[in-house]
Amino acid sequence: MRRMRIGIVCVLCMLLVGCAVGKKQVEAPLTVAPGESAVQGESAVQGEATGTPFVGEEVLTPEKAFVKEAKEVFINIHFGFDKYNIKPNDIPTLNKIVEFMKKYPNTKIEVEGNCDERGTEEYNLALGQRRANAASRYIVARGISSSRVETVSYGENRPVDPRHCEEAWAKDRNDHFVVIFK
Amino acid sequence: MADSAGSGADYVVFGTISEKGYNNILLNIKIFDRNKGEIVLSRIYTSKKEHYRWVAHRICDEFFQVITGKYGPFEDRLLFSKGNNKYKEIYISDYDGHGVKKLTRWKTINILPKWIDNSSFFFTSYRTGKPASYRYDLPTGKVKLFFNHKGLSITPIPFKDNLYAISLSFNDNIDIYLIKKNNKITKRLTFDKNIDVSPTFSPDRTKMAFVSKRHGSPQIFIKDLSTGRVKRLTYDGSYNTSPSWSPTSNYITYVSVHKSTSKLCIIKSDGSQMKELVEAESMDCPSWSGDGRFIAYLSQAKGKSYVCVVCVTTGHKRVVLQTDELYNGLSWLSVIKKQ
Repeated sequence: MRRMRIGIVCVLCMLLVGCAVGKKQVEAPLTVAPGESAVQGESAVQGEATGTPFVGEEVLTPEKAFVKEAKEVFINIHFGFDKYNIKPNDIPTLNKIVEFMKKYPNTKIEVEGNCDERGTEEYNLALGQRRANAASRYIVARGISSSRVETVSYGENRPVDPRHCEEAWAKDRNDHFVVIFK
Repeated sequence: MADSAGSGADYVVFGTISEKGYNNILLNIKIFDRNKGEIVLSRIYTSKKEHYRWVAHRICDEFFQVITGKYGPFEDRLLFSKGNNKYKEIYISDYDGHGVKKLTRWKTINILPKWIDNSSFFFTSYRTGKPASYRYDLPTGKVKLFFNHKGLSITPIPFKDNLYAISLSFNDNIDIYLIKKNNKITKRLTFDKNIDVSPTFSPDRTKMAFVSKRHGSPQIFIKDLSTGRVKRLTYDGSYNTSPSWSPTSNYITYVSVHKSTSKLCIIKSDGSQMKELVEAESMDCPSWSGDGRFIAYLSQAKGKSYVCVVCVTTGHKRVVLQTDELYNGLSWLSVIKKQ
């Protein structure tokens, strides 16, 4: 918990500095779903699968409210084996992302397409790209400028769950979202 | 040689080893063919002491040439990527896993190394946050950005005439292109709206095998580069990927992924003589030795990752490296065209 709070403070500081000095210094990623920080070496909010409130008894400032909201909105969406079509149960998540981006026009997102460890690396890189593209296309089609939605594929390089079973693989086949405050 | 009588051996290797000057060794090696009753190989090697393994491999390679007519693969080297889900770095080793040396220290995801020639290779790195292709020069250790693309790009492989084949994404299309080193696309090789990746060329460069999802699941196809005709090669199973064309024959090796196992297979480019060589929990990146006798591949089982080598004719396999981390990408270099 302490570690997470430190991460949050770092991000908030960056957000505040960013608001003051402009775009270049503020590309602080908010990793809002379970898993690794999307940008290595950066401080990031590590998401919790349960979405447990993390502000606790502290006073909710606008910046904290932003982080809290981002964390609740940007959760991973998942795919079937060798599939890249958006599942109906992930549509509400994508709709919330669209609403969030409309509410905060100074945000950009990076959609990271991921695969499970089965299959082969080169094909999985391509599959991950198609998964990232699928979410990006949905978001852009609902009015968000394509310049605010980046995509990248990590193939099978960033498993969320280290186990080697269907339950873990189902988590690993995802789109992970990173919010960048412009 | 007298001691070898009755051993059943066809050949006897003998010779002397001595010191020569500071830190050098001199080997005088002869190989005697007991059936012919004559010396079939006689060589003198001078080398630094620390290169004794290379000398031994050189002797074996030359011995292979004497008895089979084809130079051996024992001086060849392997490139591979190893790491965890945060960082992966590129490594080099002898063909048998000895002498592992770390080549990149970028603390990012560096994957899929592929030899260009005997002194340089390409690999894909996320150094700038997006995958891009870099060229590593082994003698100097210098790395240069080779190809940068807004979307997905996967490590290129050499084609011919300073052209390289690479998979690139444009919007939703992921196709194979020929590129020059100045970041310029010269030709599109595949034309499907789905995924086309993993190009590999026949030794005469007239055909290209690749993976496509155009029929619904990933399968291997062959394109005749003169006629443009594309033909599906694999039908057995619903997930056949990672093709690698033998540098010496019409055989293609690939990985066939099934529900709980993977199979390393070979198949002739006309679709005949499919053969399963190895079965394991998970496999990837098969890569031929330069003489076409062996295939190196990555394997995973029970939380461990392995680099293995299998003899194509005998099916005998050997683990040459293992780790608790993850391997990713493997490329076997045929050191020099000795003929």
